[in-house]
Amino acid sequence: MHASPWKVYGTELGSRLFIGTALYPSPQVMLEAIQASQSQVITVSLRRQTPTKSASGDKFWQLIESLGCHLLPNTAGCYSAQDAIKTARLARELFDTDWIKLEVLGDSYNLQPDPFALVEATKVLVNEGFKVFPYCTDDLVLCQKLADLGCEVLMPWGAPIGTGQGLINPYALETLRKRLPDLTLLVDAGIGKPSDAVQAMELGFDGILLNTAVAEALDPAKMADAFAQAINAGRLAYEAGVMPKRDNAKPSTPTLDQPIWQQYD
Amino acid sequence: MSESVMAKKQIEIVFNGDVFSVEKDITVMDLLQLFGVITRRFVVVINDQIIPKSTYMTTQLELGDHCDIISPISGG
Repeated sequence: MHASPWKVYGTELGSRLFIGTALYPSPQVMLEAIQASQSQVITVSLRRQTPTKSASGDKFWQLIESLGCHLLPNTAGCYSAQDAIKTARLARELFDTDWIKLEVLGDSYNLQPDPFALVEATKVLVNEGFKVFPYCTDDLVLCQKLADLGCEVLMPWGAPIGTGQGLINPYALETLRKRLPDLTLLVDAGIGKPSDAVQAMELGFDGILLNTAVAEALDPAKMADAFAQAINAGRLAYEAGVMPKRDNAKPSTPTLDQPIWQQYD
Repeated sequence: MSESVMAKKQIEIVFNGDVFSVEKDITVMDLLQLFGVITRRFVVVINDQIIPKSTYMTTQLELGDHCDIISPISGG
């Protein structure tokens, strides 16, 4: 059984997994992993590239094109609103899409998003017609402000990028889900294993964006398949409705009319 | 033609971060051919301005211009 389809800025998707294109041992492994993930959205980036390297750049582009996925360019590596805005404009021209994964970092150790610069850049880019996917912290007030600016999608971190720590603050993520029920929410960054993804999906998150957990697995294609199944399972569980937790045990087998002649006193 | 006259026909520009001498009045299209840019997917930026593809034949570089070729790379 597959979880219900969903929409991202008006685009209907079946898969709830967005997957990155970086860090794979080879282009072929990347291709196989992305295919195994069944993802319909892949993240890409852009750099100044010297002409002597242009042939390899073209090969990467051919692989990306062959996948036929929606592209979500990022502004990775930007530490100011101005740089992120500039990069987003280049990305729109280069990839021919108004989707942008907006990253504005504030700390080089944790790669933690700078909430102030993120809001500043979002304001400009939304006004320019971009469909902004902000990579943000799990701060409720920040997320509310981003939503107020016109973001239909928010991508709070589970943990710092590339750490594989899973959901460090499930309470904050659950609060976001409860307080922003109409917003599309993806956990971006920090997912280490499929059970982390299941946890996020069971909380009611709409999707997961990950890269390192698949690219650095011993068998990336197999891990991509594992994530695809986990994310589908987590979403199905959310849609099915998870039972409430209880403090006391409750027998699952009916006790009435038990065929025991001598009842306990 | 003397060497000094020839020299006047050259200008220095910065291409992808490195300084090069190129012919005065060189167009973006000439520049792409000169450096063998063969990628199908790229963006040309001169002094932080995106150059529309339709103007590659007519946009000329000037002394001191910074010209960059932006290409797709992998990303997370």
